[in-house]
Amino acid sequence: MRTYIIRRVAQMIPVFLGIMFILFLLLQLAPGGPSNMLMDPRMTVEQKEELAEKYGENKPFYEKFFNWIVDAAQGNFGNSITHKKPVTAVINDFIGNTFLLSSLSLLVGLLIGVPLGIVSATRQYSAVDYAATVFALIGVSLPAFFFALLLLKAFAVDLALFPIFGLADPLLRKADWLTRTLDKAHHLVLPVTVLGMTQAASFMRYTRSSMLEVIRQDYVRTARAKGLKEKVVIYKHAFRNAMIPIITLLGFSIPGLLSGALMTETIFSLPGLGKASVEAVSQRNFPLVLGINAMLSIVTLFAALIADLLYAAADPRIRYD
Amino acid sequence: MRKQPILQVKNLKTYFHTDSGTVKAADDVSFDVYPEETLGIVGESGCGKSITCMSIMQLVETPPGKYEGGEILFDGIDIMKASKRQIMDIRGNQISMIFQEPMTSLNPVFRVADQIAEAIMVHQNVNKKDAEEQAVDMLRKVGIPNPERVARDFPFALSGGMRQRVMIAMALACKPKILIADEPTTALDVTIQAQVLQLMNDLKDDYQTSVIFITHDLGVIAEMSDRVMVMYAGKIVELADVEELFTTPKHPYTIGLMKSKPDMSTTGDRLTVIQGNVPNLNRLPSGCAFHPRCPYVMDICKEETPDLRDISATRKAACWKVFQEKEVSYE
Repeated sequence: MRTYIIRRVAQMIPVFLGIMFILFLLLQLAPGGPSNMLMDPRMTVEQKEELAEKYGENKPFYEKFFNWIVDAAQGNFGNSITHKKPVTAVINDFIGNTFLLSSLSLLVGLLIGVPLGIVSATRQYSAVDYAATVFALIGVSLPAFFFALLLLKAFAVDLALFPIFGLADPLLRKADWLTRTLDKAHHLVLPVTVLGMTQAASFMRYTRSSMLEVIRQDYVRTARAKGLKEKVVIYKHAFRNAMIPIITLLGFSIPGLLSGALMTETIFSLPGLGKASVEAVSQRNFPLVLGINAMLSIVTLFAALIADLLYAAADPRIRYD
Repeated sequence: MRKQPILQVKNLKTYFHTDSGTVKAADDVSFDVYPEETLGIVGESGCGKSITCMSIMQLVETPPGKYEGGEILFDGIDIMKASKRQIMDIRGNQISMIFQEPMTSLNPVFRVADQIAEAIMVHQNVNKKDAEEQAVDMLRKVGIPNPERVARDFPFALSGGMRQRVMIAMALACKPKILIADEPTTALDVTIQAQVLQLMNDLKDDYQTSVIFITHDLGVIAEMSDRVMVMYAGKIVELADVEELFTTPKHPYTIGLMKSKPDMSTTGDRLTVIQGNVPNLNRLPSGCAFHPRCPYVMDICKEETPDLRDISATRKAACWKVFQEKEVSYE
């Protein structure tokens, strides 16, 4: 088990380098660089050259890549050009909100999606099943940004039940802890709904199809033949087996959540990593783009490893040694 | 005479309503099971043997299946009308079942001991520790070597024969009055098959359990059963003591089955077969369902379905020709 984990972590290094190489390649192909966004129209050609030189834009691509890797290995990810702070400090500022949004959404997705999938599968072709399937279809096919705009229009603008943007009411900056927490929760309702519903829809679909397959298995009939209650048959014997593929989905939904947060944060103007990275791209703030993406790829690689480990925990037939 | 029957199935009708028509999987099936006997049920695939037994346990998936009628009397209650509570109390406790596929009949994610202990705890007022001890005892009784270790194994670590032994241990854990064995040895190879059959016979005597033994293997039936019920296309065609049935089969289908049994003494000849195929249960022929394949077919066979009648004290058959020979009066 331990050697397996060590081996997997070691395997991540070349994968990570590969990801970063492709990222450098893409940024190289993208027009412009950090200096373009900082230029004053009155600058002379020499001054422009000087600025480009300062950000290392004229160096060859492989050299930039190599330098970045060497610095990153020492924990130096450079400075965010617009924030005038180290990239790590900027990420540190924003990651908390993104984590909050994603984990709440994942929780909402699981709590709604999984039970709905089970009920839907055990009552296949019933009204409940049709309603849940239609809900899931809408959740999967409706783009998150469009759903977000609909919610904003209905609940924030027309009904004025929720704030339109941000995570905190500036007027409450000096209020006590409880008021500020409640205010934050109030701000999070709509974004979490958007991101949670898309998650719930895909969890529902996976749970349903997984359960449908499992409840036809012989061992479920054996469980019934033992005289167990239908609840025990479904939630213990069937669901324990249906859970196995869902756990894999859980691991892979984490990167999806983070990229989903990108859209949602931008629309709701939440100060999170997603919004920061969209801004970084449009401002050609390449050190921040690289830093955020490096972090996302590491999270993704570890999420895949955790999914594999959970998979072994759920299914005794799988052993890593 | 015989003792009182322990289980009475009367006019059981279990149908499947599919898009391509109604399948009468068990059509007007009536039989009794007596204490401590082994009743064999034989028939080709799809003749309704499994569905009949699944109906006794109320394990038929509904839908697509539907219990259309009949009574199943056990211990003073009609299982067809029993509450969910009563059925759960019977399942695994009074009537147990073992299935054809040992490879898939055990839950892959639970340990063997947990699966057996669960069956014990549902029906008996014991704690988990005692139930697990009983589970290990049961594993020992079904002849599993090193039961303490196997109890902690997951099913994937066991062979097919071992898994079927675990299934038997689980089924007998609550000392049921009836054990339904749905082709328990079909998926096993022949040497293991003999061991499992021997084990079932031994345990049946120890536990004084009645056994309903489903198979399409006539050799197994001869070895295991006291009485045999032959099914064809959802109906019982003949029911007799095992010796009677093997020496003097009456129904043409039973005769055909006996002839098509491979025989050690007749070497070199081709195996006799019953001509034709099992009819599609969606579109059964008129009259007796066997008439298109029957060598003794008469006009009446094509028009009217024979009912199951007593031919002698120990024998029933559903065949116009048999009725004529026995001079059973027509209504």
